[in-house]
Amino acid sequence: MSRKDNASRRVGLAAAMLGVVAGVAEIVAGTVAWAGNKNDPTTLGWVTIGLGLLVGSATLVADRTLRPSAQLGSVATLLLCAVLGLTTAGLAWIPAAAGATAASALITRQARPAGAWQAAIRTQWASALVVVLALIYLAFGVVARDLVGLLGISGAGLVFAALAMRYRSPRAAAVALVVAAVPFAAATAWTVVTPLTVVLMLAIGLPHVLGGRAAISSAGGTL
Amino acid sequence: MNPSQSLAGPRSSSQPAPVDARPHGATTGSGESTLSRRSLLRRLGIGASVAFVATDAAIAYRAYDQGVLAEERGPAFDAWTAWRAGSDTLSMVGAAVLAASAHNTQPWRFAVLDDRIDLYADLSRATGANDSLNREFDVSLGCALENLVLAAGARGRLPEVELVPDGRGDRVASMHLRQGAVVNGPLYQAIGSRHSNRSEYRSDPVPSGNLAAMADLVDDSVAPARLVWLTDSRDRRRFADLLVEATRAHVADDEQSKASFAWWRSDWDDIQRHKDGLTIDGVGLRPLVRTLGKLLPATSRDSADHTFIDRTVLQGRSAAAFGAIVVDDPAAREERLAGGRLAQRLHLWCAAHQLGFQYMNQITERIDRDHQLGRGARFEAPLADLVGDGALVAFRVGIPTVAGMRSPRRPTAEVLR
Repeated sequence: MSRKDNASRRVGLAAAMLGVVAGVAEIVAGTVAWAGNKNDPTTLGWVTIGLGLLVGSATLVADRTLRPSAQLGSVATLLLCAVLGLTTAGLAWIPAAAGATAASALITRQARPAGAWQAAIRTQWASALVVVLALIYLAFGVVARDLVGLLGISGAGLVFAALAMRYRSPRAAAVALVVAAVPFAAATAWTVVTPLTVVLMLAIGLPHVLGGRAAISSAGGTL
Repeated sequence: MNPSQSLAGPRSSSQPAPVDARPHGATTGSGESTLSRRSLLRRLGIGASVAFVATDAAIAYRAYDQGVLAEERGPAFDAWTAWRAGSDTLSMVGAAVLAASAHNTQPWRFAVLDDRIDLYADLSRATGANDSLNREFDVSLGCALENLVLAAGARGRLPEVELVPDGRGDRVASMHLRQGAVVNGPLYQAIGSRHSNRSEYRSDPVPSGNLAAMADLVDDSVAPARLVWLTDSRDRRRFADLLVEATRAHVADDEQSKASFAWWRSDWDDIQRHKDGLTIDGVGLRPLVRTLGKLLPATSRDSADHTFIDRTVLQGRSAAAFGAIVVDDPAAREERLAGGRLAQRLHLWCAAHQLGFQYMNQITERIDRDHQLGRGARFEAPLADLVGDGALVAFRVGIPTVAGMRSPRRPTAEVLR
């Protein structure tokens, strides 16, 4: 392993540790200005700890894989966590955010082979966007609770399943996507967000899953 | 040599095959890259998709941050579900904190003793120029007192109310508790479902039997408060016009407008932190419009004032009936407290019978404001012409088009002395 590889791992894991410390500090300190004066510091503290662990996991994944799509996913996760943590732990997250951003920059610099990431983006962009939309469903499902919340959580799960099965059975994947997306949006149509999300999910996801086999043949693999 | 090979070194068997980094459709014949139309469209499609998803994610975050999917939940709303919990006396306070109050200021404190509960005024919660002579402030305390009395009855206590026991002090009432029969009536049961309903009401008139039943709620315990109904279409129109005129005067008065807007809470964190004030949930909007209101940036005072006028026009036009509580002397605290008790009773009755109820106090607010500024109260005579002398508070009733929603509440623990 090169010194650069070590650097990204060390920085990423340090960021993860700082993130976990920020979460613990928020839980212990309660509602304080440096943690963003949150009304529910305990829950958000736990979310912050989760983000810290996610930073660590993304770093390790990037460290141990050579798959461009996985590396790209790790970098996106690191950057997303860097931003999200600022909303859960305020100033306390800044060291972790800086570390996660630095780690993502180091991983990007070490990307091998050159151009592989562009190829990954070319074949996986639609999957990535649908995953983002599914994560919105998941988050809203958790917040909504009860039966409606269950629709969101199970809908997100089914979207992931649809993406996974798109090469084997594109039609089944398309049906799964519709079944996953529509009920939650219908039940929460007044939120504006879920109807918008379902439109995007179907507009981007359906052509993507229906073209699953074509994607394999044109890309020469699934990356 | 392939540049990727020179950077990556010899490829191991576990490494993926190098991928051609050139975009589809690119050519390198003469050293210059050109994009085919198909490739350009593809890139534009990807760019647009990313932009749409990013926008959707940003809106989703805003919706999460504004509690769009967590309506009526969180610390600010726990009082609505926990109001029967705790000891007998604490559950009585739990019922009292759910009472109506002007601008949802909840201007009360309670002292729980062995054989009585004292109700105190919290003057730090007065609304200043909005309620210049603290009329609504005292009426709000009367509303809390009525809930306290109903809850005492439901717990098998016979409440004996003493108004303003210390003269002009901040202890406005004492409720002495003796053992008595359990009175667990529909008004008590409606405490947790009573909400101001500011939506447009249906055009159907309220059955006269309902108005008569509400008039029957006036008894000696709220004397000298009386109830006056305005059901005739001509009277209703005159009252509605007066309301709109008073609202315009309210908005034109910078101090009054500021004092009113100070209790507007548009941020979800603020709502959960303060647990009081007026929120978009209480405006009576349809769900989709309500959500848009939460997603858009916080409203300005100017915009809120315009909405106030527009909503008043709508509310006035759609009222099936206006009511007014009149007393002998609207300036007397005891009479205001009695009027507040009657108002709360009427409101609970409406909640128990799925009728909408909303205070319409712009006219009396302007009368008090004019008195405070030492000028002629121009709304006093027209109001007296409609409901008689001594108008304390006014309200409208009707069949709502949108269900009323919970307003934020400070729980029992935060209002004990």
